[in-house]
Amino acid sequence: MAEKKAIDIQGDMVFRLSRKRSPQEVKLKSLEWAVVTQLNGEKTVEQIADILALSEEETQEIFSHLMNEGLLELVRAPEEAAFVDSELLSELEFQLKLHVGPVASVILDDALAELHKNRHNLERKFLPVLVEILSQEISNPNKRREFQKFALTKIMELFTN
Amino acid sequence: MIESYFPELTQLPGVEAVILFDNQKKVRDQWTIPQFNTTIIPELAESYIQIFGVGEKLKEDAREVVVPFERGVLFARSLDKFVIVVVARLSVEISLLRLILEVRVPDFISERKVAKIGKRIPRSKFEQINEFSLDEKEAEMIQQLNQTGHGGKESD
Repeated sequence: MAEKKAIDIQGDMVFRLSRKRSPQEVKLKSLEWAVVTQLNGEKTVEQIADILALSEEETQEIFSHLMNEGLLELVRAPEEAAFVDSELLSELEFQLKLHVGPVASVILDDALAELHKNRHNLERKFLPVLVEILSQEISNPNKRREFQKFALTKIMELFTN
Repeated sequence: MIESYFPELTQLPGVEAVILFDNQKKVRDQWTIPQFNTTIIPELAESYIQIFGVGEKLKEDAREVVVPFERGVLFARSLDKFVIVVVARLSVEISLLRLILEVRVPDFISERKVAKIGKRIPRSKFEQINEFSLDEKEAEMIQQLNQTGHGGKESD
């Protein structure tokens, strides 16, 4: 029997049914059939899991099985690997500079190092944590909030577009 | 209230519900995605009043409670006379929920209408815990807390 590959299914992945193999060629459980009927090349894994009220574990198991059976084609890869634009980090650095002075550059690099990242490989999902670390360096509550407001606007643009 | 004071929470993909209730467990506002089971909301209010109430009695700094569950995470923040609970998928970053609240809560608390509502709400959460909603162990713990009087841990 062929060894099953462990696949990390992410919520923002999008799949469609493979043209090379039909689901009727494989023995599927009822929940797996339910997922198959939802696949349209547009809905994300998370949206399908929501519609069918699947737990994280079930979602992972079902999609991995369908993938291993060769029934799925990946339409959109996970976006988590997308890196934060270094221009955005420069904007954050500038804002931080307004509140803490020239030491902002050092603080930013230290915060990135704490996350084991640098200015070129910070994944999008780590941006809120970075802002949280940077905010702690601003002792004045009003200035801290001003910085957080700016950062939140930028993050929301990134996360909702 | 939620959509006007915490708009980012309702726009963020993966957030399924945002519930705002006061120290008397009265739900002041709620926002949910259509598939969300709203029947659990009163139970959530009851549970969080217990959690934050006991924290208050023990003088613990329990301002925020995050509980993961099978399909996501429950993020709750005590806002003095109110409690806000966010139900989100695991893909939602907790630090982002926290950032949204850091930015939005001060405006919410200082808003005239909210301040006016707040005047009629008791500050204490502990006193609002309903004995009938507790199981045996919980009731015993609350009784012990009441006996110590000062709310702190008994000295050795």
